Amino acid sequence: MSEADRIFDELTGTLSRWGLNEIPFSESASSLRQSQLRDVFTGRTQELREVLTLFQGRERKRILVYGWVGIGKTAFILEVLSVLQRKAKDTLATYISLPPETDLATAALIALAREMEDDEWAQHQLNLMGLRPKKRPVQKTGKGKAGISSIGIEAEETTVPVTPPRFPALSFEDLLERALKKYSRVVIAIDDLDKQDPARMRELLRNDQGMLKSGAWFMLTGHPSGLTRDILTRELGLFDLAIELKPLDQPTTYRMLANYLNSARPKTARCDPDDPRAVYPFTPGTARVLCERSDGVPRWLNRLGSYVLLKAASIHAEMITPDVLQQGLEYADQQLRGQTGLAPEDYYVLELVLEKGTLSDATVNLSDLERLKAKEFSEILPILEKLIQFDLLRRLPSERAAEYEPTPLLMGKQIERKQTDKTD
Amino acid sequence: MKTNRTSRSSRVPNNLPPRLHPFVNREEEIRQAISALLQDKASVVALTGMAGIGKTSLALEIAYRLLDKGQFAGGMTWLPVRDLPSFDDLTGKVGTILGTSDSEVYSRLGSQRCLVILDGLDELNPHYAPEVERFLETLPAPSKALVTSRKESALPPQTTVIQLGPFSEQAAIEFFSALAIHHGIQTSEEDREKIASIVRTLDYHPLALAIAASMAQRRSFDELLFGLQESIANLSEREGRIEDALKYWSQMLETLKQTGTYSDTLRAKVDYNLGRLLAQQGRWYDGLSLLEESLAIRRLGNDLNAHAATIYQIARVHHLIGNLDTARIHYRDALRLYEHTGNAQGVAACKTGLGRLMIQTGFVDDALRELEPAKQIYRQLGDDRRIAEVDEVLQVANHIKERQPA
Repeated sequence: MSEADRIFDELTGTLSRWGLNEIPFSESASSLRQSQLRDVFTGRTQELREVLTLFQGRERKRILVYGWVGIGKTAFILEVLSVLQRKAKDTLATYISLPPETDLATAALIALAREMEDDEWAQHQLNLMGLRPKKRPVQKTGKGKAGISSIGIEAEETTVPVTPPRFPALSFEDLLERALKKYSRVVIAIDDLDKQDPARMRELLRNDQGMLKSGAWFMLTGHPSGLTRDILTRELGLFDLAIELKPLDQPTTYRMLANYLNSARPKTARCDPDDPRAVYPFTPGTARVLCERSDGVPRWLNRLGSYVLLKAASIHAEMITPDVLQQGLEYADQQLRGQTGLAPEDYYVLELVLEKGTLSDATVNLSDLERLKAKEFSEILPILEKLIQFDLLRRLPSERAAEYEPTPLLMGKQIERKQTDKTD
Repeated sequence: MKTNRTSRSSRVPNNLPPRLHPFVNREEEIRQAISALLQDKASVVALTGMAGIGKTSLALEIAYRLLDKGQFAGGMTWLPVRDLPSFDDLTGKVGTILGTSDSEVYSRLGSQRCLVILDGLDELNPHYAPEVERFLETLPAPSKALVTSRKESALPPQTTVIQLGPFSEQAAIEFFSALAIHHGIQTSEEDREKIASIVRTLDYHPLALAIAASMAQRRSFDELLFGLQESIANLSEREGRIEDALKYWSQMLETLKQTGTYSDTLRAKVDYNLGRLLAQQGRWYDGLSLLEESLAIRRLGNDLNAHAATIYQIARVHHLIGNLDTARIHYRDALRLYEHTGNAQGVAACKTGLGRLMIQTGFVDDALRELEPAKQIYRQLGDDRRIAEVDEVLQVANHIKERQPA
């Protein structure tokens, strides 16, 4: 037996003592199987009711689901789609994350064609675009330290560029017509709208208005800053329903934690979330602290949960006491700051934000920017957005200014929740 | 008053001013004018055309050609009309050249073949215009008058009129080249295309070409061409002819792309102006794309005002498109740089833009905090037009504020 074998057995042993098959946390809902999503999806009752009510109607609708990074938009629309697939008769539901440099019509065409496996014309469209039918052309790349990517956490996927059709909107309409011969309703979910360049995305959205008004139902996601915010303020007419996903309250976050841990147990060993054993190896106390730390953002709960469990497993902890939790949080801070993919300039920006507490385009001065070898706030925006994707920063929900602060995943600073008003 | 007595023409008394540069082209017009002056037809021959078309130069050339042939032996009198305070001054000067007293001028004109040249008849003082008109109408044979004028209406009846238009491209190239050589500038075959571009830019206008040729003493043809195109583009824009301005900036961009040898500063300037104007004309995305190219260059340079100006224009386009978040960030970026350089105009412009934007996003108090200082600055600069613009926006802001619940 090699050293690696021994370590693997040790870690698996610890998980087993906790009653867990694996570390159940994941960074993105898109990496979960449908059954797993059903097990862990928690809360959002009001929002689900609003969306599912719409689906009781006949007339096709366009729905925008928005909220900050990691708030659960992908999980939400996947949950809606899976409910529709299980319960709604004659509905074809499909999902795609918008590939870079791709317009909406092409994305919709790809999503629909992939679901129409038996339709030759649909598969031919995929071929023409350089895509393999049925499978996404993915390259799996690892993210984070080795510990995370090897146990239970799905690696981040990237997609290859596609060759868009000459008239994507027309091709989509033709395919939709074929689909509507077999199904009474076609629902297409397009995720990650805001990862495109906002200025271009606005133009593309305008250009594809016709497609969005076609016979299919559309669910799009975005987050409030940049494009989606401006769409909300100027072009609400483009969507029949715009739903904001806000951070979960603490009780819901606690239930979510319990659901995640339950999902890694055999069905016979699962407990009610109110049962203290539901959050084992956490104690109810340390579970609550973890939930507070996550500030109601599911992704943060997942990341912190994962790091804490990994740390606890590596020190053979029987349960996660306050001391073990503290070690886990410190480990999380360390791992987050040391993520691969962060460049020196990213760290300079992070340091500045940590120093100031909040970095804003309204209050930053030239000497701050010159430290970062910039003269404009907009020059550091890509870095700020990158740090958000790495869960190191978050953008505050202010409409007066672009304000960024460290996430509660980083230790050392007590972050007070800011109250910001939408209007004067 | 100087009287010329030169070589072969030394027999003919005259006060022709010296020719300052070589004369090229206009051979047909010269032939027509000399023919008309030497034949016993109308006593007045007029050269007409717009300002700077070359009427004065042509009249002088005609006079010298006649002088060289010994024509109009009685005398040639050159009279710039704007320099004549009275009609008596006119007859006095003619008399001096012909060597006679004022009272004898008419009789001398009637007995000897003389040429009176009146340059700029359209600038005649209205007080003695009737006298001059009568002088021309009653000019006795065998003498003749050669006049130049921008307007045909200023001419007496029975005048033989020769109209001057812009040069043909070939003639313009020859004209410019001759002047360039006269100024000591070496030209080669490779310069021909550049000279052609210069003459086209200046619409083959002789005076413009003459000025440009003299400017070529201090810069290369390429720099000259760019300088001219930029000046004309700016002038067109000031006069509201945006399409013309766009045309010139586009030409400059094409040249830059083809040659690729120009400074980044020039490229940034062209991208900036073309981008700005395209956005103004509603081609937002094309304009934005060029402005961003300009920004990429200006970020690396040291001209903070130019840097700020580009950011400001980008802010404006995003504001027009409705990308309010992005616009706000850019306005603040430009404002920060303008405050650093102390550019009051720029500061006021950014604050006005921010003010408008804050109203749109529902932050009226923030808007007022930007607009009031903007108005103050414009007041200090004495810019009434901008004060009025800001006042309009302030009115909207105050109106909204009044209607807000307490």
